[in-house]
Amino acid sequence: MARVRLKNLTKHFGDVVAVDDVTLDIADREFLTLLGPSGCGKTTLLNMIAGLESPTVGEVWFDDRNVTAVAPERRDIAMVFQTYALYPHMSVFDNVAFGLKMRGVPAEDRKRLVLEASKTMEIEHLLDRKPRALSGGQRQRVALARAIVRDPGVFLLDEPLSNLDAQLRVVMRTELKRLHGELDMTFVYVTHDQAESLILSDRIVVMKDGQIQQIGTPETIYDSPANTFVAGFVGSPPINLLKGTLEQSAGGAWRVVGKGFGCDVAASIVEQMETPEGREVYLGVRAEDIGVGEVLAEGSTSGKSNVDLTDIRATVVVREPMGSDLYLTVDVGGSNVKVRTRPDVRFDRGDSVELSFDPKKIHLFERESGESLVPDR
Amino acid sequence: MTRTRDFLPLLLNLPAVILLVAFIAYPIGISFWMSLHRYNLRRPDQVYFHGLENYATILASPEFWNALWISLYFTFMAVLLVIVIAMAIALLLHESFRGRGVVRALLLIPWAIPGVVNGLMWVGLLGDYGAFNAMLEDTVATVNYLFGINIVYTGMASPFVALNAAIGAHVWRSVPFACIIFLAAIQAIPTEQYRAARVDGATSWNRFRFITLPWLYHAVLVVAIFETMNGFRAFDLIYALTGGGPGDATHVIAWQTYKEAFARLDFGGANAYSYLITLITMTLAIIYIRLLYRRGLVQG
Repeated sequence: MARVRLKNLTKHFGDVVAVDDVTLDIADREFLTLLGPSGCGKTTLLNMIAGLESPTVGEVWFDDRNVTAVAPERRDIAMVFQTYALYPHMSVFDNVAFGLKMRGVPAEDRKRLVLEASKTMEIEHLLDRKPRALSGGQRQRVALARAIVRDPGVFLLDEPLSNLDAQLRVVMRTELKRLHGELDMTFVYVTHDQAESLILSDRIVVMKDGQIQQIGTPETIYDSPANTFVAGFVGSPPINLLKGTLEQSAGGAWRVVGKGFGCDVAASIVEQMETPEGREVYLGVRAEDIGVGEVLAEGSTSGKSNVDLTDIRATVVVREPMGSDLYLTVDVGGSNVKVRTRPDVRFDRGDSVELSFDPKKIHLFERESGESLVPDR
Repeated sequence: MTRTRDFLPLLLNLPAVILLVAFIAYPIGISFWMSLHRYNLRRPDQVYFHGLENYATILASPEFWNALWISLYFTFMAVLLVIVIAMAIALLLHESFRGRGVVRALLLIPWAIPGVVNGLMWVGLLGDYGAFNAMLEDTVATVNYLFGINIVYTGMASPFVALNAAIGAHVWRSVPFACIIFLAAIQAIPTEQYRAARVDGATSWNRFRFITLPWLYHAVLVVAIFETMNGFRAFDLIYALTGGGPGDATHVIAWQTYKEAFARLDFGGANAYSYLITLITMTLAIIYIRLLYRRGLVQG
């Protein structure tokens, strides 16, 4: 158990700023995910929490202890690496027991603890094997057993599932969630897989270029992205971003109008802006928040009944059936827009369709800065 | 057409095959055949087949056993020192420091020096007027003075000094090659292994013992095989540095072979010596490889 606080952490590698002034408070027993693309600084940040990298500036605190200058072996942490980092010349038992041996735990206790951890990770039958005789999933379980056997306060995981195939990843994801529920540990998890982060985390920290873009629960990150980067990175398929301009109609209603589309905007959003008229924005709308219907007559559609405002004409470019869903890529005024709909929808390539955006679900971002103009939902 | 196509690959390989047969297979074969003959150039009229007689004579001769023990000592010390020194240097060169690239390049110089040149260079250092010789002489004089004892220093005239000086010169020349192999092996160890070990609480000594060393078993074995063979075959250095002396102090087995062939002109005996050296080095290589298999480091 440990609360982890990062205070203004910065890490330079020569001229490169890998982590830039990160301040973060991770609660005891929280499952926190550092999410971002390659090179965003998430692993460097994790390494600084582990003590494997020293910060150029800033401090790392575990509970009330400043551990910035404390060596990894004295930090009460365990770590699982992307490549598992199992010792190839040792048996599974010796791999799991290694940390205990290095800490001078007597042989009898070592055996008991290794057996306990092996039971938790269901690898009792593999204890005599060498790592090379294990499958990817089994290696992952051994790596997890090696980490939990010492009962550390903080559990650090660096992309632990990225070397597994898709099916096994789903299994191990569930396993990790179960493990977090069973153990009294703070989990800090690094991944570039947004789906993993949404499923596993209590909170997600989205990073880019060494800086935090947004911190929030999976729901907040998904429903109220702070900027176009977060909106685009979290969610599959990525959010649709359309260039547009805010305009006020004669009746006083606000709309975003762009090439080939127009979409009503709630007054509550516009009210917060100083000069909304003519403002250049990105309209963000997720694939599942778009209704698609047949073109019946000018200005009307069939399709989703909860969407009442639309005048968006589009042409189907690609049809991608995914079993439970159907993805359509449609052309709106020269931009591609992804739409998720029911699998029984029969539209195909070349069909003309009408789209409807749910005004309650749209996102508006400042064109220049990419920052969100919509208050948190 | 088909016949031409079948014939062409053979034809293209023919030059290489001829060269291999002429310069490798034939000498190996003729050498073995000669080892089964009485073949002394002092008595060219008395060349005749006499089976394993040469081998029996060698195995019964005290010269052979003396040369074998000197070779074993030479090889054992050389292998041990090369592995220890080369590993230490490789570990140092793996660390990052200013000028590391230059040091790595400089390290190769001893390796590039031919054995005879190396021997002559060490003659300069260890000869009567050599710097090392003077240092050793002064050291012995100081020890004598400090402890009130009387060790007589005779330099390269001492069998002990001559043999160990030869080992030193051999090691000096062999370290770079071993060092490169170790350095390559160290660089292949994934960084995450060390990171995992640090998180597991391993001290730097334990990281060396439990991570670096096991990862280097293979490289150590390769170096051991190479150096064992080099040690048993050491000749050019001995020829230039000690000339086999003083007395028979540096009569390694390769020197003995040379003596049989070019001093006694007994080509039958010399070839038998060569085959015995081959047999010994092959036996040792097989033992090493068996050890490697037993450790499970090589996929069977």
